[in-house]
Amino acid sequence: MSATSRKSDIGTIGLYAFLLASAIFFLLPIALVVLNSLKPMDEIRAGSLLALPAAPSFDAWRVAWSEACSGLDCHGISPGLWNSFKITIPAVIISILFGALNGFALTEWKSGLSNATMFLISVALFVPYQSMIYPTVIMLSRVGLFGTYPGIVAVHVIFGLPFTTLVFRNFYLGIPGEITKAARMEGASFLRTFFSVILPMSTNIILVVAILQFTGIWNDYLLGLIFAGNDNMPMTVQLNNIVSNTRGAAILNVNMAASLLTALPALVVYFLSGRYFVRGIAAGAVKG
Amino acid sequence: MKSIRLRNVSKSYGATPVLSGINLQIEPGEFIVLLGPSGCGKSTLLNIIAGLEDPSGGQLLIGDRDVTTAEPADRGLAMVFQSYALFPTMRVRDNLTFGLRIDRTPRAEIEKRLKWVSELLQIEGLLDRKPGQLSGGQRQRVAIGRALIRSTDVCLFDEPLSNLDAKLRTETRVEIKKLHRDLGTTIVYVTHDQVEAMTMADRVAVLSGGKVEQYDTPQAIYDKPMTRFVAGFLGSPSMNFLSGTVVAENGLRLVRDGGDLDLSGYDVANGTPAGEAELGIRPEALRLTAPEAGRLRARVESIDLMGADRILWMSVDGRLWSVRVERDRACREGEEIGLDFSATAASLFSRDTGARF
Repeated sequence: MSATSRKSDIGTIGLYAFLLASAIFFLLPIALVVLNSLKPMDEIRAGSLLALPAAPSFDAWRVAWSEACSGLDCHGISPGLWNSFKITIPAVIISILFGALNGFALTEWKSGLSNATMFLISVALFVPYQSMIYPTVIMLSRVGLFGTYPGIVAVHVIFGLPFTTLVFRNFYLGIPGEITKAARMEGASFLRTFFSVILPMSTNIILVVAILQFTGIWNDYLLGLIFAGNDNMPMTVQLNNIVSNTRGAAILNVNMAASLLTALPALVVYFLSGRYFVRGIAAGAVKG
Repeated sequence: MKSIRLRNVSKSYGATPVLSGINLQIEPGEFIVLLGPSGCGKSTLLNIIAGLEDPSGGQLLIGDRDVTTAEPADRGLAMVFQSYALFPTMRVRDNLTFGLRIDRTPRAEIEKRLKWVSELLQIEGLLDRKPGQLSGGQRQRVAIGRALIRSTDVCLFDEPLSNLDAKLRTETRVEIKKLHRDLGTTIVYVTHDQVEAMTMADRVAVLSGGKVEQYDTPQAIYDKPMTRFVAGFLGSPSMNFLSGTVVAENGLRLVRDGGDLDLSGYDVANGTPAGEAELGIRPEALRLTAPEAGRLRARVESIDLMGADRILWMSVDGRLWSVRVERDRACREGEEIGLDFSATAASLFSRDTGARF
């Protein structure tokens, strides 16, 4: 065995050791939550947190889904699931559509102002959105959207646009300019070019942005808490209400089941689209 | 078929001038090649004709209509791009008919034209494929088809062959020429390849530094280049040059260190030749003679076998010259040799202005 291959063997072992350690580090808490959501409360109190459940049961999941109490109403977190979908799906679609349109416009519009706009958008991306909450509350209440369903969707769209615009613009910079010129020669308007030529070329990047936006909006807590209003509380907010319900002792198994239920949709999206996600990122990095 | 007239067209990006004072008259049905090295402004000029860029000054007429500020789609022209610029997500069929569908052409008419153009270019079998599934040559045909299908009066080509391999390039060249003959469309064709310009064009506009150096038939440009730039740019190997002072009294002569060269018989094009000048002679216009018999002395440096003929590289007045000779001509490297030429086949340029005397 040559020296170089021995060296690379050591490297491989080190790499796998690191990957294994990282996997354990990230999986252990999840395993803990899963295991304990399947145990009755007595077993949790009696045994070790990492012990396997003696008789796995989904009772806690059922309670978390439809019976757990937040404050006075005891409907579990299932109403929050519907609210979260109702908020996330339109917010993802609208922020992608306008992000793509903005990105395309900023690519086609060749002037110093376009670059200045792009610079401002990038800066906006780095301003913590927490600092903008108070002015946003005021603006939304002025137009009567504070604490309403359109209000919370609008907030997610607006806070998502800098990111989606930036990603799409960088993607469109990689599309050869002759393609849009050709469309123009054929008589296609700006919007026709966008919808017939550019958008169909963007499927990979749309998937990437959709996954990131979906998980981002789904996992949001703060904006939902502030802007959604009582009727549209997303799942994350309801989860917190259930977990921090102060009456009596903490029902750990139900809390854990509720947490898992809340995290599930984002996880499913990742598992189903992981392949496209990687492909999309690679495509964005190289070129359409 | 429509004419194109460019009147004093100029273009600058900020303070950088790209085109200045372009005047071109293109007749209906003519095949015009815009030829020049990279950065000479030929593609910019084509984009201005297409309407993809606005000129900074001047006027552009297609037919009798002033289209200087018209949208590309309203100018009645089609364009073939260097990268083909096919829409990657559309089938070939949809690529070809995209413009017609935007114009809301009736479906029967679209089908008729699609049939016509796909038979013309022999791409019937490719209609349901995506551009990514086509070879370079097939993509090229689809791109040409997309330009032809709308039967516009003018067709623009932006270096359409530069991405093809040599064999396909030659074939497509012949094919485009044939299409032009059959359809009679006015064609403006940009290239940096002088072979394309020589073989395809009715007239060639040679551009350099944002100006038209010469606008004439390929043969006239080759035989009588009007500027030093054109003389050096066209021809392979390129024209041979010799510097000296031109004197017109007592017969036209080029005075130089190695002795005067008699140029009587030279066909003067402009004014009275005088002052610092450069004499240009094409490699095939030179004859080999015995060392003492020729008007110039040279030493053979190296020999290139070309198959049909041979190129001798030799030093004349410290410059490297090329001479095209028949392949049977006996000759060896290092040999001292004489060169002769006819003054009628020579070109004489002013050193100051670069213009032909």
